[in-house]
Amino acid sequence: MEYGKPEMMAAAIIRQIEDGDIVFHGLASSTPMVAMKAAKAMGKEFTYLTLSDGVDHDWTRAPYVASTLTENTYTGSVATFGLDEIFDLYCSGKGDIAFLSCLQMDKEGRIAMSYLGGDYERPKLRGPGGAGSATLPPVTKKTTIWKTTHDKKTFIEHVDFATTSPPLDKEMTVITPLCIFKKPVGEKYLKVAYIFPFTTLEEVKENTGWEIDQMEVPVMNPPTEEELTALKKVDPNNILHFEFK
Amino acid sequence: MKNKMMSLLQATDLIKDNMLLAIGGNAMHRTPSLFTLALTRKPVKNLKLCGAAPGLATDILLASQQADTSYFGFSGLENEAGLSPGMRKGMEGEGKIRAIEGS
Amino acid sequence: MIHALRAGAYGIPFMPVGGMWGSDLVGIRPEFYQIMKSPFDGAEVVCVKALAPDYAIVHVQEADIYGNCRILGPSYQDALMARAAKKTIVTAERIVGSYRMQEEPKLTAIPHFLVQAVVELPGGAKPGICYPEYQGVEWDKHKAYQKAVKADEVQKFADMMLEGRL
Repeated sequence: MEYGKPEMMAAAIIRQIEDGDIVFHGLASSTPMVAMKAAKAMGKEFTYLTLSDGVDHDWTRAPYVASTLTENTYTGSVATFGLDEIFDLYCSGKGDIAFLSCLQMDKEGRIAMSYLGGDYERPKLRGPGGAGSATLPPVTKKTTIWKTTHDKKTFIEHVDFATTSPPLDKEMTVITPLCIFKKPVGEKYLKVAYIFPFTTLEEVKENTGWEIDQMEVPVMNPPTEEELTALKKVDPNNILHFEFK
Repeated sequence: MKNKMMSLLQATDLIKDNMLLAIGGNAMHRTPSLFTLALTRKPVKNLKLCGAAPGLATDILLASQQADTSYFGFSGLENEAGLSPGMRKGMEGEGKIRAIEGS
Repeated sequence: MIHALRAGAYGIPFMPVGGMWGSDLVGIRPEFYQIMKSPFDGAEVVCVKALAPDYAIVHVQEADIYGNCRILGPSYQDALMARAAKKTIVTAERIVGSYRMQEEPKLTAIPHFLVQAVVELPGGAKPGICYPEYQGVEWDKHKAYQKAVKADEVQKFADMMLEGRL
């Protein structure tokens, strides 16, 4: 089966989830929503929390818009668990993964969500704000950032105003259309952990705003038939491609 | 229990200058947008707004410049509906609305 | 924000919050964030100031004439807002008999004594979504809103929406 960057990123998101994990994504998160529904369709055992209040909703409900707050993340839920309860759960150390995104990121994994350009009081572009990204990374076992563009405007040497920063004692994973960066526990900087099959380390370096001094990195396996079939099954309206337009 | 029914006009009359309002809903979902649209027809000003994920109803009072402060964790309309146009107008560049950003 | 509203609802002046370390937000708004030491073990915690709104304004699917509210589907932080605020103003898709609440009291998200005003307002969340009453954004109206913001014509847009001319 054919695949592109959206399917590769979705497969990387699916593989990030381990058996028994408690996993959360927030609003404006169409890419992890489709990937997590697919992971459910594949029979992965994990808890799906999101801010529609729904817990383990009926994954066969197909998304019809990219909004992750519609009935398709609520209908068929086995319980409700609101955002305030989700924050409490994670702050008390019981959350495994939070899928978050960013406007910009630097080599320390510091994330800009508040603004781009200018300064905090007079921004050129006022962003939506952290939406939990200030609360969650310090307390989440495996914070995972997805970002559907990989270029030097997005991945920059230094973010002036960090809406959040990853803590030293936790790992952080960053999934881009070209590669996966990881910040291991106890380390300060992101490293390329995998590149995707359709790119090269050279291309990653050319599109990243900081110096990458690694010489060789493993290539992640392409999406499997099972992953691609599951993605198709849960997403007949092709919402996965929304963030790649 | 008392009967609390009133008209939209009577209800918007309760809102006075400088009040702090918590506005319900989230992004484009179940926000009291017609109420805040009705408020834009009144001279009320210097409102302070708060919410964890304020959406359309909040954006309306930022766009009308009737609010001077917005407390929020995420302030946007999500995906197809885009960033929050009133917030951008009120906060970018020389915009006068104060952002107090939580999480 | 949730903790600030909780502090408001609990009647306390501020509240420690989890997470937040490493965020530049903490330093830039001292009127909202402060760092303090735990009186028990000296550990540092980020605190937020309480927010006790004058009014919470919420749109719900069902309310009775006394202000008991049922929220169908996602409830977000609306019930917390109602507890944090001095009083709540409710707009409702429809007014129902109190028997609806008596059937399953647990489903009343906001009880009447927190509410000062109830307005019957079908379509009160438009051009946005109100589960399960209307599940899609009215895009033509939303575009008209975006245009109105750019053109400084929000009040004109409000007139058209409220008078049903859009």
